[in-house]
Amino acid sequence: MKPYLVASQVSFHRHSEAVFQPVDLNLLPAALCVVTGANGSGKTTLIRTLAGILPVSEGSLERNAAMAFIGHRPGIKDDLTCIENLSFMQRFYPSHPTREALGAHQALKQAGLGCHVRRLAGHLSAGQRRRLALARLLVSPADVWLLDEPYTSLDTAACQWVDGLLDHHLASHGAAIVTAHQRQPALTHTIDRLEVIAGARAT
Amino acid sequence: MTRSTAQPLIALLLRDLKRARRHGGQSLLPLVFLFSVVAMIPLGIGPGPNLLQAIAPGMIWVAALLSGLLALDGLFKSDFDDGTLEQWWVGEQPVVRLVMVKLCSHWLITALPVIALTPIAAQMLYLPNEALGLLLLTLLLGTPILSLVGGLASALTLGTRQGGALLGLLIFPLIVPVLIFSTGAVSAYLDGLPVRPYLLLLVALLVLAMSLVPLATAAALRLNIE
Repeated sequence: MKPYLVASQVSFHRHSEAVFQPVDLNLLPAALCVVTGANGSGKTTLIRTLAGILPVSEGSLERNAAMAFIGHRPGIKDDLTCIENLSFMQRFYPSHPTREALGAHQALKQAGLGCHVRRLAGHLSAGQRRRLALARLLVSPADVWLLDEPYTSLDTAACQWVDGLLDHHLASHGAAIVTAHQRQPALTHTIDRLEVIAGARAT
Repeated sequence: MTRSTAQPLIALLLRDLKRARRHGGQSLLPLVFLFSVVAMIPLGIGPGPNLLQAIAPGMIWVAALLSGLLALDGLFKSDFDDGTLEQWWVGEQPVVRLVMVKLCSHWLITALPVIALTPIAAQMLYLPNEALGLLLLTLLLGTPILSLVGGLASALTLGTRQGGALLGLLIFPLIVPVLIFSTGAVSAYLDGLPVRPYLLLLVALLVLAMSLVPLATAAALRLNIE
C-alpha cells in the first residue's frame, strides 16, 4: 500500500532555530498516529508543517492524499449560521470522490447541532463550535485527517462521537494524525505514537 | 479551469458577498463617505458651478479612494483570526487564485456601489454630462488597482496590531499615479486635449498590478501565517 504521507527528517525552523527535533513518519492507510509531547514541544507546529501551512525547513515531505486540517482556530464565521458555515465548507474544501459524503443537514444532526441549524455560529458555545468544525470532516471527506487537539472543550458524549468518527475513518482506509495531551483517543484500532521533542532552543 | 476547481472560488466569493450584505450598515459606508464629501464640498468652498465643475473629478476620485481604504483593514484580518486563512495552504488550490477572489469581492463591495452612484455625485458637482462617461471609465480602470495595492498592504500589515495607519502610508505613494492619470484624463477632456495617453497609462498600471500584486500578496500572507 502506498503511504498517504512520508516525512523524513522533517523540521521547521523559526528564526533559524529548529522548533522540534527532526521527525520521521510513514502514514499508511488505516493508521492513526497520536502525537504526544510536553507543552511547547512543537506538536502544533509539527502538525501545521505536515498540513502544508508551514514550509518544511529541512528534510523532505511527500503528500499523496487529500488532507483536512482542523486546528485551534476552527475556521468558522461568527456572522453566518451553522448551516451556512457548513455549506460553505462543503463547497470550499475538496472532498475525495470515492469517499462517502454526508449532506450538511445530516452532518449537523450527527454533530448534535440538529436544533441549531439556523443559529449564528457566534452564539454557539466553545464545545458546539468545535463540533461544527469537526462536522466538516463528514461533508468534505478527505483521506488524511490532521486534528490538532480535537477533544478540547468537548463533553464526554462529543469525545465519544469523535472516537467513533476516527474508528469509522480508519475502517474505511483513512488515516489520521492527532495531537492530544489530555484525553487520548479510545479506539478499537491500534494507535501509533509519535513523541515530539522540542528543538535545540528550548532545551 | 474546470468546474470542480472553480467551485471553491465561487463559494468563497459568495460567502464574502453574503457577509457584506449581512453587515449592511458597514457595507453602505463607502457610499455614505462619497456623498458626505460631495455634499460638504459646496458648503465648504461655495456653490459656484465653475469652481465645482473644475474640482469634481478630483473630489469624486479622492472619495472613491478613501472609501475603498475603509474596508481594507479587515480584508484578510477576519479570515486570519478565525483560522480560515491558514486552510488556504492545506488544499491544492493555488493561493494566488484565492487572493484574486478576495480582491474581487473587495472591489465588488466597496468600489462597485461607488461607481454605480457616481453619476448622481457628478450631477451634484456640475460635472458636464459628456465628461461623465470618461470619469466612469477611469474609475473602472483605477479602482481595481486600489483593491490590488490595498490588498497587498493589508496582507503585509496583517500581523501588526494597529495596522491602519501603516496601511495608509503603504498605499498612498503607490496609488498617487492612478489618481493623477485618472483626474488628468477628465481635466484634459474638459480642456479639449487628447485623453488617450492617460487611459493607456491607466491600463498599463492595471495590467502591471494584476499580474504582480497577487503573487506578492500571497507571499506576504504566507509570511504572516508563519
